Amino acid sequence: MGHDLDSKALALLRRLTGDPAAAFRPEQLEAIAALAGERGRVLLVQRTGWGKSVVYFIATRLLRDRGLGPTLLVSPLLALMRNQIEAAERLGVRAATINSSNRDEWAGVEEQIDADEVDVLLISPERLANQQFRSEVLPVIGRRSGLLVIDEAHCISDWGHDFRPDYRRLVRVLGLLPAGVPVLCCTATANDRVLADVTAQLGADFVPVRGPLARSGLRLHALDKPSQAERLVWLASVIEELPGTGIVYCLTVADTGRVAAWLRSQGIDARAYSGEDDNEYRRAVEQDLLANRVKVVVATSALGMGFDKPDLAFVIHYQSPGSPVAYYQQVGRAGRALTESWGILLRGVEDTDIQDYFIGAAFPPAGLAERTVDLLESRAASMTTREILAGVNVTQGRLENLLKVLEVEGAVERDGRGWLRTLAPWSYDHGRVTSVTALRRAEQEQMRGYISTDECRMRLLRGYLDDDDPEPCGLCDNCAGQSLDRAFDPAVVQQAVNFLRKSERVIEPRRQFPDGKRIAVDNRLEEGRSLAVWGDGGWGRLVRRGKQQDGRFDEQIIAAARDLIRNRWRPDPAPGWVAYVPSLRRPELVRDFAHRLAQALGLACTDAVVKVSDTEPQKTMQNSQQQYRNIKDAFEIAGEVPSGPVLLVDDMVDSRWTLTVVGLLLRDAGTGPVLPFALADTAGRSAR
Amino acid sequence: MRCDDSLATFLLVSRLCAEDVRPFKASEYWSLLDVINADPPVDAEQGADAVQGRGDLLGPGALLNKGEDQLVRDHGLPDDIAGRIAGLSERATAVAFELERLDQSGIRTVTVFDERYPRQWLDRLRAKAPPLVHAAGALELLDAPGLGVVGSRDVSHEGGEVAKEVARLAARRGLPLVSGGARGVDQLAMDAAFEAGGAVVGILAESLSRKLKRPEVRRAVYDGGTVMCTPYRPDAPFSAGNAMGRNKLIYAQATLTVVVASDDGTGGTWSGATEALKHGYGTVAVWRGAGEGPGNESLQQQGALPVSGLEDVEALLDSAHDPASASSLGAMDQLSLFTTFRPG
Repeated sequence: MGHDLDSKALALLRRLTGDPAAAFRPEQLEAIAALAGERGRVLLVQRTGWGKSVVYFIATRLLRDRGLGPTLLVSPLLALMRNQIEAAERLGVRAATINSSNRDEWAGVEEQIDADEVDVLLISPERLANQQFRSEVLPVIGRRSGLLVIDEAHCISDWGHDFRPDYRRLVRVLGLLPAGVPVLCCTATANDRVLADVTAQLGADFVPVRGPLARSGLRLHALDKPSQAERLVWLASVIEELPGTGIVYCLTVADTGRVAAWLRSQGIDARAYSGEDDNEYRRAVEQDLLANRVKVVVATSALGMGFDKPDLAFVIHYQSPGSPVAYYQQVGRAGRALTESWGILLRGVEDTDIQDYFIGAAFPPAGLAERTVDLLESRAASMTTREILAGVNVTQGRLENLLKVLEVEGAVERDGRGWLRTLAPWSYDHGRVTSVTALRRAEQEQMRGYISTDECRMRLLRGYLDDDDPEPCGLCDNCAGQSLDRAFDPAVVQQAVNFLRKSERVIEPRRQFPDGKRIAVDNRLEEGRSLAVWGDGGWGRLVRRGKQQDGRFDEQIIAAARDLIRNRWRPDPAPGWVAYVPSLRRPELVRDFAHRLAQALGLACTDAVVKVSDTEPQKTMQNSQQQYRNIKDAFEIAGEVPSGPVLLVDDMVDSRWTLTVVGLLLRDAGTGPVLPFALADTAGRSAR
Repeated sequence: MRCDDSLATFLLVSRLCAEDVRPFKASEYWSLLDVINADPPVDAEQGADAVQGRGDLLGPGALLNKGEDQLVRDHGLPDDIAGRIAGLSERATAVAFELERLDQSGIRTVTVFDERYPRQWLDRLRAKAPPLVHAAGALELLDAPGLGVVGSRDVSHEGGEVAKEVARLAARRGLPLVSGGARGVDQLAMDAAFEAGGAVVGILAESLSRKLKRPEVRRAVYDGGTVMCTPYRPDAPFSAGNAMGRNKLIYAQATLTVVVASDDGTGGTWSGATEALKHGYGTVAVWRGAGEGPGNESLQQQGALPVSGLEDVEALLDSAHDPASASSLGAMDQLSLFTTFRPG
């Protein structure tokens, strides 16, 4: 029986690869036998590119031949599986996908499943939260149980950095699945702690099949480079010299755009890539990088799991990730099939702040989660997110994340277009939050250790990952005694400083009130500008000093604002006069700035806008409804105002509600178009 | 993580998921367990191992992961039964996802192999006990004694007052009120128990999901002290058969059940009460006084204990045999009793 299965499996492998002499890796055969022979449960831990798909496609073929139902494959990376699916067709394994973009094909796929014409159904974990999918498709596919494959299984663990709430649902489903339904969980994660957590959650029924995490030829370097301008200059200079193509990882979306633009300005073919880009663009960039049609992709961690390019020559980090696992996963993409590749970590002055932000944002705060659950419980009926936002001070984005987490925890459920408190008891898991946060802090400390060490970096990194390797690598900067640091011409550094200072942002006019009613076109703001990002490398830091230390904005900032307005923004219509947003707490700061800026622009500045009631700082208001309510009655227009277009000045812009409300008042008082201008954008950072 | 016996029970009897094969009715389920334990397995060695692990008896988990032929060979099952088991087991993935969905929204599925299953049902209903129940709220009440109140949907004002008085009495004595959640007597009694701060066990014949959507029911569940359950699909529509099947659960659940008002010789209340009296499903009391129904006197003649004041109800409660506390039977213990019920 066992031998019979082995020879059948081998014949299938040779058909799949088209190579009549192909042979299994021993673990592949072991896994196939456990799944197809014993209908058992297997946890497969192997590096990317090892050939996990061989296991599930061959097991699928064998199980289908024995009359089992179709395989259900759950993966967050469906878009990257096209090649494997084509290969599977050589085994007569017919695959179908159901995702959010092919809803009109669902009925057809259901019919195919019903007619037993589908051997593998591929879905993303998010599908499992979709009501239509659960009520219409799952009952059909699940009526005849086949192999269940859970790809990227480390997403089960919130010890890791790729935790996906929907995976927790899968763990619960596994607990409700009786023996006899074969299950394969796959992951390429390297870390023992994550693996231990995954194993514990999956239960003792799983047979672990694990391979080594070999990584040869990778040259690890690390450099402490606090200044962003110096880092940019360093990047351009080193990337030009490095052979092949690679990735530069940044911690924020804004940085990917900026770094890519800088590299392009230095004649390097660079593309930015983040979770905010649409899928089509991302796929195109991935394809260009795979084919070496672009020198470097500047990406957030969104370019990650499942991206497999064996000849990636370098991975450079513009900022330091918060943990050795995250770093190893990213740097490990370099040079899988090259004899020499580079993994270079730069540390900037801003890294710790950004890491801290991510650590703090990882869990919804207890009070917020509890207030939201209490609100839904007191209503005892379905509420839309808009209704919830009116009662809870949180941004819409964070509320949506929170609801998602609460849904998977069983505290709330979707109910049509709204949300309903479930009937299950729930309490905030303080213990889990505390222990995971403590772990993140320890990891942050390890990354500091990685940068400052003068010993072998590879050995240290592997030690952090519980992969102890007694031999120094002989390749890293410390082993080889070579540093990639270099000195630069101050003029080139000044060029980078100037580049960073041109990182203004557009202020988009708001088109709707928080209740969804339209703002009439004539009452809207025009498109505006902010000079900098709060606290950032260009003007951001000088703006912060002006507000927090000096109590007055520096003359350089007036000049920069004038330069932006006159030479780069060039608003049309051009403003004929200047107004500003007054403050009761600090009446001079913005008033002084607005008058000086008006003078520099050769315009008159009026004190027409007055503040009639004190308000909470707008930055403490977390969503539109709260922000609007906070300031909607706080301002008035005193006396006559000029009739032409007006430049409306404030120091900070966050939600845009203050500018929008004052703009409405000005239009009501008979002014022309209102052009908003702020020194710094303080809107929250975006990660992926 | 649930035991395989519990999951297998769900696979065999649940009508939650689309099925090509007819799921087992309660009586079929129990006689199936009886059969697999009566006939010694052909493979004596394997059978002995299995029995050892299970305290002498095989649970339905033993039927999982076996083809039709093997079921016939190992357990001496007839072909058609073996075919149904194999067919129903194929639904495992669909069932697991559906169970998870229900669990997540707070509707737990409790089988005879789970801790919270009402032991009184096994004791009193035996082979008519439903193998599983869907329940939301304070599950511990399922396993506790209670005071039942039943009666017709169209109840007189006086009858309604009696229902409320008995419900308040239950609250005062710390006993959950057990009722069916229908319009009329059921609803009045439940509302009165809520208001008096008492616990409520609602055993529904239809539409558990819809009932649970009502804000006042949700609030009662959030506050604790309420459980709503049904042995049928949570979205089952009304059917006379289900309503009858449910009635016996109320009698079996409660220490004492008071029939407030019944029609004579017709209607659900009458059928439920006479059935309970005939089979001894529980202790049946009948209201004799203002607000009683035309059938109340006949019920007394058939053996229901007359009560004409709250003190009569209290006296019956004081002397009643408490089914829950006396029962310690698990499904396997129960199984061993069923040998006397073997078909043929």
